[in-house]
Amino acid sequence: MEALDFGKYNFYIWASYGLTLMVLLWNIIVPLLAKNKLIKDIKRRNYLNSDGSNDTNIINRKSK
Amino acid sequence: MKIVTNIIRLYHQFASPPYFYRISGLWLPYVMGLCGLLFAYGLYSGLFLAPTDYEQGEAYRIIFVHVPAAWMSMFIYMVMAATGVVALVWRLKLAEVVMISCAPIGASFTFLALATGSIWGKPMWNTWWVWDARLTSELLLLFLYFGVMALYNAIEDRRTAARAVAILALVGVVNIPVIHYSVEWWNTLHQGPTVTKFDKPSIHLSMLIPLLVMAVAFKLFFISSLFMRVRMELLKREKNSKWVRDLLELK
Amino acid sequence: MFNIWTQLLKRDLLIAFRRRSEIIHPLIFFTMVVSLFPLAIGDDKILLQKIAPAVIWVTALLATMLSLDNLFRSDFEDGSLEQMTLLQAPLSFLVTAKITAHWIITGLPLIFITPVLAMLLYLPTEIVSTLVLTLLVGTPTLSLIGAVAIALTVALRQGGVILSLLVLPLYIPVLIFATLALQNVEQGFSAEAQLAMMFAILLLAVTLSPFAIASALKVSLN
Repeated sequence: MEALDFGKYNFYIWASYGLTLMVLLWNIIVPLLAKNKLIKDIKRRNYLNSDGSNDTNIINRKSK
Repeated sequence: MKIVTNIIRLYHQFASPPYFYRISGLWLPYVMGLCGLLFAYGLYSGLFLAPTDYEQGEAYRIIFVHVPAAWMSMFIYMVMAATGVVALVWRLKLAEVVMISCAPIGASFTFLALATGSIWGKPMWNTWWVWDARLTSELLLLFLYFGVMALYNAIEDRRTAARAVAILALVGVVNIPVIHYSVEWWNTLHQGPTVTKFDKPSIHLSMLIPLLVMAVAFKLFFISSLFMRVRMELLKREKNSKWVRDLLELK
Repeated sequence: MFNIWTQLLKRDLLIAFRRRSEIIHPLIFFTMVVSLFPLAIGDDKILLQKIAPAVIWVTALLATMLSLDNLFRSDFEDGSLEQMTLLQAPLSFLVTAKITAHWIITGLPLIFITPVLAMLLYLPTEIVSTLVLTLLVGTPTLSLIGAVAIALTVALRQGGVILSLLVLPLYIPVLIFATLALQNVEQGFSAEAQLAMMFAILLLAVTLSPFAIASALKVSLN
């Protein structure tokens, strides 16, 4: 693939474009992973109250 | 009168987290798709179609990532400052979330601009770094982004943190025109303005087009990444609200 | 309104004079750190002459940064800051009184002791006058910009570390112009342009920073 060979500037060009790719990937992967972790976390914490409801308001709860 | 009530309704609608979550979710695949296409075309035409430069040879092709990254670093800071103003004046939660989500993206692009510039500098001007006006002010921009992120993480209450960060972002806005005009005001090693001059840009069309395509691709990428971060942050902040519970189908 | 301003200035000066350590400590820090350089480098007159303006300016930056804590912390902790927001005069106007007091307490002594320290670093007397001039124009700017940063961080527990992260990037332009001015004078040219630029930065800081400081204080107070 001679088209991919830039002569003596090979290292510099590929280093730059490689860095760009890494930055772009970082900006996609980090939010994606964080969102998946968050959704898993919310679902894990979704425990139900003793009467089967999931309301977290324990102060004004009407007794059953 | 009806127009005013409609505008107010629209304003409330746009500022509501579930609305933003839904609309951004609808748009995101298209934005990312278009971004991918533009990147593909930009990379292809930049790396292969554009002719070899007379002075710099092949190394000039770094311009197609360095310049868009630098433009993004400044653009994202302005977006951050503008949403900061909205957050300060109107106290909109969505504006606060957008503002703080800009910071890591902007910091990464600033780092990319500095790093690719440094890599370009070695073969061309035989130096990895020089303390001229543009590089120094761009480095300062990186420090400002770090300061914003550090201050936000240091304050416990998220809303107070957003207000403090908005003030800090506004104080640092002074740096942006300094970066932009630094090559005109000072004698720098960095190249002078070639694209944003008001007369005809002094760069050839066959190089200008890939550059602009990459710039638009970077902007679309920023919007995609921003939407992803904002959606995640909205879910986190509103995790106890009804719309999130309905969304995640929790009973 | 001006009455309140003068009373606030007098109050801060009085408090500072009663707690002399507030004045003395930054000064001692300044002197000691500047003295560290000839001790570390050895008695190399030419080298010391070359780095003298930079050393004095960087140390002045650090000394100012360390003294910023005195600006708002004690008032924040005992509730006087909250009382100040309730006064009739606008907070942005009143903070200028506090900053003026801060400059008189920390900036002015720095400027007075600089000729002595310049002598320690073998700086020729012609340059010392420009050095003092740059400090005269620069230290109020440092106090003003620093006040924004300390206003943002005064309520934080780990505020000191974040303060340096916030304030040093904002100090860099002042440092650059000051040292450029001194380099010009060393080479025999005039430093008018850089001094004018520093004065412009000072004017910008004086007009805009009080509003930022007032907003930041209100954010920190709740």
